[in-house]
Amino acid sequence: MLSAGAATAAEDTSPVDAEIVAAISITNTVGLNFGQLAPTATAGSVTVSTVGGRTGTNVTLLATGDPATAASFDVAGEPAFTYSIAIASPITITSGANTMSVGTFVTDPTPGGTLDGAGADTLLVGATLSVGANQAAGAYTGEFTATVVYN
Amino acid sequence: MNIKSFIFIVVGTALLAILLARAAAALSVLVTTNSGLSFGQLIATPVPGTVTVTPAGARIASGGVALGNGLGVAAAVFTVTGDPNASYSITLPVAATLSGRGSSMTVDTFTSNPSGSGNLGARGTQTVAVGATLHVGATQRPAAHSGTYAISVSYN
Repeated sequence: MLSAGAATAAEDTSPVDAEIVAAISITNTVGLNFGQLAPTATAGSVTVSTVGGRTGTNVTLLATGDPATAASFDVAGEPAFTYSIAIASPITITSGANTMSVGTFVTDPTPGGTLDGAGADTLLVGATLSVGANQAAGAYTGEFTATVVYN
Repeated sequence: MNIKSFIFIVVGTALLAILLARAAAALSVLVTTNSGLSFGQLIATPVPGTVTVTPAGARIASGGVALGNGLGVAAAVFTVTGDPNASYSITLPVAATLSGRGSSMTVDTFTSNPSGSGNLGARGTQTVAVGATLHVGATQRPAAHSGTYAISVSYN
């Protein structure tokens, strides 16, 4: 029998969505500085903490020269988002042909951070410098890279 | 006698077959949304890009847009119902617009599985999955974006 009321076509409206979030960024504002020090005949090390405190083993920490500073970075992105932190280690600092190694990086926050209500956070970084026996005098410089990624 | 009865039976059978072929649909064809299409979290960069969600629910980025977390990423799922074993055509929209906080983006290149047409089978029902491609502009404004689109089906 014919069914005159049956519909042969139909339509439905359906939702579609996407969330755009701001990219995370990191900008260095203060460099990591071990300050001025004098080597000894024994290999040693100097550690700068995330609050910029400096301790040494088998080296003489000098009050002259730059003050020791932890590195500081401004991290920015979406408010309340969490992120991971990665630093390639160790790295080498050089003065002409002379080198020293910097490693054992420590961060605050650790091991990751949370952006605040304004989408900002401050990342502090300390590390340990390996000083060779009678390490040659000079101004040693180099770079390290801190990478942040949303969780 | 015998011959007359035989002819009557053949004619009767042929008439019944013609009536069946001309019968209109017994059940209306219907399409309803089970769940919507979601591109999930995306990170805008200064370079524009696209994000495709396939009918299988896979998410692929191209160009300058980066994928954020994959929570909620999904192809749309529809249920089509109607006459058992009926074939039907699927019509997808050309494009749709998502907007939020004054920002808007275009979704196009809709695709479906099945594609073009389907068959309701013995149970008179079939599931259709729909994907599409989202165009993310350079430095697209961070915001939750949403919109709607229409899908239609019709008996072949």
